[in-house]
Amino acid sequence: METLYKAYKDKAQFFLVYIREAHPSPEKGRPDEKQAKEQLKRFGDKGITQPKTMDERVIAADKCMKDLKLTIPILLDSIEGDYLKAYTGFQAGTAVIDIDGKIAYWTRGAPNGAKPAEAEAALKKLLSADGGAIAEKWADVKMPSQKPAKDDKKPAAAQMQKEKDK
Amino acid sequence: MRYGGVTWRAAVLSIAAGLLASAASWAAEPATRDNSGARQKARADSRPGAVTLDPGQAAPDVALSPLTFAADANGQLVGTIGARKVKLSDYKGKAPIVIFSSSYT
Repeated sequence: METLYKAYKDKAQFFLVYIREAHPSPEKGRPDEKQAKEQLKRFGDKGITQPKTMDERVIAADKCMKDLKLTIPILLDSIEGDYLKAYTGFQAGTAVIDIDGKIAYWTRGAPNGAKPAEAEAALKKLLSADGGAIAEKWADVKMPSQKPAKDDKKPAAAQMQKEKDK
Repeated sequence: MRYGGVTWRAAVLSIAAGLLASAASWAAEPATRDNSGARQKARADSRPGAVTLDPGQAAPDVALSPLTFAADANGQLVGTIGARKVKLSDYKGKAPIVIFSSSYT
């Protein structure tokens, strides 16, 4: 996924939509010792529980991005799962949308839902079909910056830490 | 040594034959395993709320908040919710979009 992004980021817009946790850490009152141990081993701290607010989702996505050293732009699915409901229903997946806003490639499924090789083939087909037209048009389009705008919210993690410290 | 007319050699040969038969049956199974994958897909497709998108159909439009970063009091970059939502339809006529969806767990 990251490799594909780095190879084609100048020719297409890439997003990783951070959706609901597929296998969240067990929450208080719902102990599952085996799963809890695995999660703690993998994620440390308190594991990753199912986010109930966007701030909690930010923390999970932030951890994911930093741990896995991802640079692909991340979009956060709403807590209601707007993206998930529209694109797969319940699972991770991959979609390639052509310049006319139509589905060029789509797959659903985990853990093999992200099929970068198939997505790359679909993207190559799109790019070759349009010759250099897409690349030319794309050169004028500003990439959405991951740097925060002035009116962005305060860092969720920092804000939650402050509340904890109180 | 004989126990009730059965030699150890005969017993070992019988076990080996059983193992060979199991191996042969396993080797002949790929088609069944493929069917099992297809069955899994069919089960996922029929799950309530499951969405299937076909090539050529209009991509659903959603507006999502981007994950952005800001420095905290210690100068470390921490995730924030971007103020301006990103609408997939904004890219229509501009660039193809590749979307992976996933979570950490």
